Amino acid sequence: MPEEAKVESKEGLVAFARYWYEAAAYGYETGEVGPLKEISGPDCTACNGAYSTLATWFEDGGWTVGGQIEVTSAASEYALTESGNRQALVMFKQVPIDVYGPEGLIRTVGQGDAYIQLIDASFRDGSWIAMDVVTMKQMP
Amino acid sequence: MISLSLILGMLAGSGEGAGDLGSEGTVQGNATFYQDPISGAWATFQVGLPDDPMQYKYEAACFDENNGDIDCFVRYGLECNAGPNGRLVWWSSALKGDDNPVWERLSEAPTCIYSEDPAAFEERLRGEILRAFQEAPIAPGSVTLQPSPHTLIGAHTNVYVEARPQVFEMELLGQSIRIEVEPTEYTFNYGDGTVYGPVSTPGGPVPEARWGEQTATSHVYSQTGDVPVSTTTFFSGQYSVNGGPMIPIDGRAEIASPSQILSVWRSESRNVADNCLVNPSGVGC
Repeated sequence: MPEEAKVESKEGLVAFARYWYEAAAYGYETGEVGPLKEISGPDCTACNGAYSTLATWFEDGGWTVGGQIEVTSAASEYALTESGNRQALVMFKQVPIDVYGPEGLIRTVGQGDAYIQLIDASFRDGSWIAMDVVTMKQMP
Repeated sequence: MISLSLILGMLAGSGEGAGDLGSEGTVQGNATFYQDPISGAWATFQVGLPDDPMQYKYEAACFDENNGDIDCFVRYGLECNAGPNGRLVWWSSALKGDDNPVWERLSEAPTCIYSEDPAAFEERLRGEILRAFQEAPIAPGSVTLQPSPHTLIGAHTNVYVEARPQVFEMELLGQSIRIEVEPTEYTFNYGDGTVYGPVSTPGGPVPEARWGEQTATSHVYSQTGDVPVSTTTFFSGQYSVNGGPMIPIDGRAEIASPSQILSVWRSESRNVADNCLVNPSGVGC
């Protein structure tokens, strides 16, 4: 994780948010969700969805092509939620994902859509943790 | 009700194409986002006030420090001559709260604004549009009760709303404004102190043979009497200026439907030996 993402500040949170999408993209490209799990809480909507989807895709020798994520814009008003988390908004695009099995291409997922997600993050023991990541909006 | 909407949401999310990060992050059910005006924090509701995470603006197109760029005008083949002081502008959007906003244009071509000073005018126009949205003569949803005007105590009375999207065209501050509204949530006031909603389902009709069965928006009355049944429909809106891109309006308009009086009756069954001719003082004669 870049050093600026370990700072408890608005700028630190935005840097963390950008890094979170690098970890997520790494999961989509390799099936390795360890780095994403390390920086996410147990009740994170998008994380848990991605873990189980990726487990299905990568079991029994499956693999993927695509899934890279481009963060178009990341912002935070550093608003404090009732549960004590700080929030950031991220707009990103994800390259469509070709899912392969031993027999070849199974299906293509996504259409390169742009989404806006909301990250609820908590600063613990010198590091940000994504407590929840949810989709607010799919861009037209 | 919550468990029902969760199941529907999960079914909807399990279709082909799901699995990218954006769809994995989609909250099941009908979540909408609301930004607390004081703390600035975003919260989800299964239903609620829709706010938009984007900010919007327009800026002059084909103009550089008040000098018109003729090539630019020719390229888009546009002239703003529907009124005085016509200027071409680009509408664009960026994430709210971004210190260095990345503005993305919302359309392929610029559109017109009619004002001597378009920049200073933007906030005023936004305020006028919000007021027009709140005051627009939006037709309320029509309410149907099944059965009506009489229903039975202890049985399910089905209530549903039919509301439709509506379009309003108007002139505001010299601009041609189009406001589109669509119904997004409904509140049911059954008249006996029970209120259900806001929920995203308007309910729907059931065939007469199945009246009395439970539906998503039905209600069981536990006392006899006349009750006023009413509903409120919430509309969200978006606007377009002089044919430009559609921009969401924060907040929503609340439109109440006129209430209907429903009579709740008791039904009793008795076994009788005679008809009313034989025994005129018998039950029900």
